[in-house]
Amino acid sequence: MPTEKQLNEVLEKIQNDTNGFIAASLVDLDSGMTLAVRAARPDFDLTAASAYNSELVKQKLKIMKTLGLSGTIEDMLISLTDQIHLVKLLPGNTFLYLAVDKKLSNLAIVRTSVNRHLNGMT
Amino acid sequence: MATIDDNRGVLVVRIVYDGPALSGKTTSLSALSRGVSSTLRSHEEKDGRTLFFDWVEYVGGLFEGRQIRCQIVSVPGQRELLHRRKLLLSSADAVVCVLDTREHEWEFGRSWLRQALDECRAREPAVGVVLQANKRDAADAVPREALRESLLGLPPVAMVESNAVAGDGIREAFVLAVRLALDRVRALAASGRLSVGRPAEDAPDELLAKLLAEEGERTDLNGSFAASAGAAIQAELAHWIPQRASSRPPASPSGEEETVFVPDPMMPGGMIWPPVDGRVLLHEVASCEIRPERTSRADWWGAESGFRFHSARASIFQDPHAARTELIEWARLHAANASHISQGRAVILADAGQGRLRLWQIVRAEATLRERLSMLLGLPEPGVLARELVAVAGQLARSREAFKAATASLPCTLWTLGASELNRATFVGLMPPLRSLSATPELEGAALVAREFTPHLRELRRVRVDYGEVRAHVAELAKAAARDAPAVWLDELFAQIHA
Repeated sequence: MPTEKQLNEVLEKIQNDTNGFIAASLVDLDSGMTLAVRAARPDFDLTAASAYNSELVKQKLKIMKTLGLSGTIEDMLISLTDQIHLVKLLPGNTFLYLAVDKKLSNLAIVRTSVNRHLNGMT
Repeated sequence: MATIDDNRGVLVVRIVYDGPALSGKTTSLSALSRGVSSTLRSHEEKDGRTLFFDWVEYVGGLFEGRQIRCQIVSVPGQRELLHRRKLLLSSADAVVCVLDTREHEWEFGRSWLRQALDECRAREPAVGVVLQANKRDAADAVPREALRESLLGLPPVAMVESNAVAGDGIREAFVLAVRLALDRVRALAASGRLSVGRPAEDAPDELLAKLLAEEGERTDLNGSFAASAGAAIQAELAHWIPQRASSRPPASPSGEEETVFVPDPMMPGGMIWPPVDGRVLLHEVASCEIRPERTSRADWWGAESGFRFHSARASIFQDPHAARTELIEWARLHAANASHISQGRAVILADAGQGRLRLWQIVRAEATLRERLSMLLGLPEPGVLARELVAVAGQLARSREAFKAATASLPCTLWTLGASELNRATFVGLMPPLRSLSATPELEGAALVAREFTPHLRELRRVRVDYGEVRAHVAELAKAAARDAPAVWLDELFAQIHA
C-alpha cells in the first residue's frame, strides 16, 4: 500500500485536476476511518463524511446481496443541488470519496480526474 | 475497555501505543494527532520521556451506525514504570507496538514485542497487535526481510514500516489497529460481554486518577493476563452458527474464470478465522506478494516467503451462506485440534469473482523433522548421529500416538511434523480436507519409521564412509532399549537395508 504521504500527493493531484474541488479522502470501508484526507474548505467535515459514506457503501452492498446481484460496485454518484459526490471503490477494501462544486465542474471531469490517478492509490 | 456509550451514541475503544523508551511512541502520537486534527495531551514528561501516558482522542469512522471514539494512549517505556505500562496494556482493545528497528536496538525491541504479545494474547478475546517498525529511515535499520525472519518465532503480528518523525506509516498502523479493535468488539458483542454505559475512564484526568489509585493500592497486575483464549474462540464460533443446515457446494464449472486470490488484510470481518490473529497473519502475507497458481489437480497452491496457501478444487461457493458454513466447520476443526497443530494459521473466504467465494488455508512454514534429518546426516560424529536418528524416530512414533487423540486425521510424516520442539508433537502441514477425515488407518511404530526413514538411511549408506560405525552405534542403543522401541526399529531397518 502507498504511504500516507504518497496518498496525500495523489489527492493533491486530483485537487489540481478538478475544478470546484471541495474535499477528498481515502477511506477504510470496514471502519470508516480515513487513510488520507485533503480539503479545500475548512468547514467541510471530511471525517464524518467519510465515515457515513462507508455506511452508504455497506448498505448498497447489502441491497445488492438481497437482490441477488452478482456484480460489484464500481462507483457511486450522489448529485446534490450544488455538489457532486463521487465514491469510487478501490482494491484493499478502501474507497475514494470526492466532493466537488456542481457549478464549477461536471461528472465527466470528476470521473476522468479520479481515473487518471487511481494507480497511485492501490 | 470497549464500551458502547449510549448517551452519546458512540463506541469507545482504546488503542494503546506500547514500546521501549525513545522508540518513537510520543512522536507517533504527535504525528497522528496532527493528521487527525486533534490535540496531544501528555501527563508529566521528564527529559522527553513520558512518565504516565500521552493521550489523543479521535472520533472517526462508524461501527454499526455508531461513531467510533478512539482513546489513543501511549505507555511509559522506562523499565521502572513497568507497572503503569501493564495497567494501560490491560485496558487496550488493540496495541500498536512501536519499536526502534536500528541494528543495535532491534533485539531488545523484539524481546519487548514478545512480552507484549504474550500479554495481549492471554486476554479474552485476544488483543490484536500491530508492529510499527519505526526509524526505517536510519542508515543502520535492519533490512525488511531480516525483520520478518526474526519475527518467525513469535505469534502472528502485523508489521507496518514507519518513520514517525516524517509521519510516514503512522496513520496506516493506526487504522489497522482500529480494525483489529473492531474485530475484538465483534467477538465481545457476540458473547454478550460488550460493556454498555459510560466508559470506565472518559478523559485523561480520569485515567491518571486510576493509575495513581492503582499505584496506591500496589495491585498485583500479573494475574490480570491469566484468562484463557479458548472461550473467545467458542464465542466467535457461536456468533457464526448458521440458521440452516449446510449443503455441499458445487465445484466451479470453470476454474479458469476465477479471480486470482490476492491476500488482503483489509477484508471484511467474519471472513477470516481466527478473527484477530488471522487478520494479522494476512497482513504479514500481503507484504510478501505471493501469487498462488493452479495445480494439475485443479487445486490452488502457493508457497513462498515462509508461507503456504492452499485451496482445494471444490472449495468454491456460489452461495455465501454455504461458504460461511464451511468456514465455520474449518474453524471448529482448527479449534478442536489446537493442541496438535502449529500456530500461524488462518482460514479465509476470499472473493473468487462472479459473486463466488473461495475458502483458503494459509499456514506459516516451520522447520520440519525432514529438514532436521537432512541436517543430521552431516553430523561428523557417528555416535552423535546415531543418537539423533533414534531421537527423531522416537519423535515420529510419539507424534503418531499423540495424533490419535486429534479429531482430524493428521498425516504423520517427516514433512508434516515440526522440529522446533522435540518433546511436543506438532503438526505443521496443511490441514487435510474436512471430508477426508475417515481415511485409511495411518502406519505406526516400526512400520511408520520404516516408511519414513528408508530413503534417508539409503542416502546415509551412499554418502557416509562411516556408515558401518553409525549402524554399530544404533545397534548398541537397541541392545540397551526395550523390545519395541525406536532404536530397535531403526536397527532392524539398518539390517533390511544392508541385506
